[in-house]
Amino acid sequence: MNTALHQDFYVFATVVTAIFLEAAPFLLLGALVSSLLEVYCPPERIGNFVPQGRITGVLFGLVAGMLLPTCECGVVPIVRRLLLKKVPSHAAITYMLAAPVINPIVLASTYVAFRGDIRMVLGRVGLVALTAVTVGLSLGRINQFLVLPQGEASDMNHQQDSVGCDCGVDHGGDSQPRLIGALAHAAWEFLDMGKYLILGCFAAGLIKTFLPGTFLAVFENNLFLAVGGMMFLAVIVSVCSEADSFVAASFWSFPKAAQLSFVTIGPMVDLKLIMMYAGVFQRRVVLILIVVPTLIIYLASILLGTIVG
Amino acid sequence: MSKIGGLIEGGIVVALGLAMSALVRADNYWLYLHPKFKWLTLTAGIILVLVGTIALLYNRRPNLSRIVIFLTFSTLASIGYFLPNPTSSATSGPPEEVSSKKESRIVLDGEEYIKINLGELYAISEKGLDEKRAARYVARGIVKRNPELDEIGQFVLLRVFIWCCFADAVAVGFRVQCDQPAKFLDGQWVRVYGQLQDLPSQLAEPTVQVKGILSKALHKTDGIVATRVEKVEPPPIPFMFEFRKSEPYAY
Repeated sequence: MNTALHQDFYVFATVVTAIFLEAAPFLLLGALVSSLLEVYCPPERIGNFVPQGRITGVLFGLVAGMLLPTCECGVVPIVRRLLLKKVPSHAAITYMLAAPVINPIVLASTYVAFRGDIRMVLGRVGLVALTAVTVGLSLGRINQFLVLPQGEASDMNHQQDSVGCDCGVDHGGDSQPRLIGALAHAAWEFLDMGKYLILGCFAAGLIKTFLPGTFLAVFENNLFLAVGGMMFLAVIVSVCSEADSFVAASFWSFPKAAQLSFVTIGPMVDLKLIMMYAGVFQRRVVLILIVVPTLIIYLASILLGTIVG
Repeated sequence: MSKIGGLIEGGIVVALGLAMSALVRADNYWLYLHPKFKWLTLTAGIILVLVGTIALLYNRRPNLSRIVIFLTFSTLASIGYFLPNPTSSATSGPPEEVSSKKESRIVLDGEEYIKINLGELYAISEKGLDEKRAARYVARGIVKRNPELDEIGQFVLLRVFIWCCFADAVAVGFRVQCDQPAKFLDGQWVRVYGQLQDLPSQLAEPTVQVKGILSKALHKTDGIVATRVEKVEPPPIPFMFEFRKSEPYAY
């Protein structure tokens, strides 16, 4: 094989495999939690537990992110299941955007990566919370079934069994233990979401392999370009939220505001997440999940960069 | 048809779980993920085998796109795994241990040099501790050259650090001042003996690239003034995974 082609292919395959291997355990955890919810929690039980009001629901979603942390790959199947269980969309979406960042593990890694700079930790929490609440409130206007693609919503109404699933597994019946059903369900859920994860890995791998390593240097001396460049990088490299602070901190020549934008947009919008959103949500919702966080984080980072430096 | 679908999809999950479990025992796990995550990969692999085996028992309508995407990924990952690494001739193996303080130093021309990796050296340089800055160090990395650096007798010494996986890899390094940078080839592994010194860049950020790595931490003001640079074989594991704050350093 031609040496350059060999090298390109090798790097591409390594990046794709590495991102998948890093994300797969968390995706599996999400699939397991989602399947246990599916089998053991009837909709009315969850519905009673989650506040129905918009403000209280959004706040509940935010706090749930602190108490039930999951990474961004694992949270999507959980939220899909919560929505199918009639959890209000504003609470579920707020939880989905906040949980990968507003949790002790990620905040500790942010603190370490930025060498104890508490402003970066607070900035990250504040920006993610602001974005999650804004998106949660704006999606609260949409009926929860509209959040899911038409096909799945229609399955909900017509083909589902007693717990709201069309996978063919008998979740609550006497013919098999419920746990066995939940585990089989987790396998399908993993494949369902894994498909989108792999597409995201392919996209990130292509860009990391073929984008010149020097392209970011063009952006670093101008705040507007630096924030935009770092946000673009966060979207394409698709690093998990536990590790992204270390990557951001390595771009020391960029303004702090640009580094902050990197660690806030990445866990909410990146290539693998976009693919997963597209597989779960309606197109209109996918658009909101991409555009609103991008705008809020870009503008807030510019503002912070101008005021604080 | 639904029976076949259940078998194929369950089989994919089982095969993926087996592959992940086997990878933990492979010599080049480090190429993809930091070795500290072996337990996580193994746990996920075992659970995938379990849930996949259970899923085999169920009838399910096959989903063609899911099957095609997973098979494409498996093919790509397998080819990548078995292809020789074109960026390093490193032979896989266990990491070298630097166990005692005596082994953590090398004597050259009567002077002791502390073995250190470039990440650890970068941390010392950033902290600006005079006592540590003044010491003599020996570090390994790959040479990155360009004509502008050649003209001023410098090259860049880089080594890749991995936080979690190859996707978040960062190339860490310094400019090295030496007599004949042209003696070394771009991408060649070398061992540099020398001291940290202010080495104000006469250039803008040197344009050096490492394929597949977008993030680079090249020290802006400090460099290594080399007393000797020698060609070496790549270390068994070329990446850095560990930063230590004192001797013996991870090297």
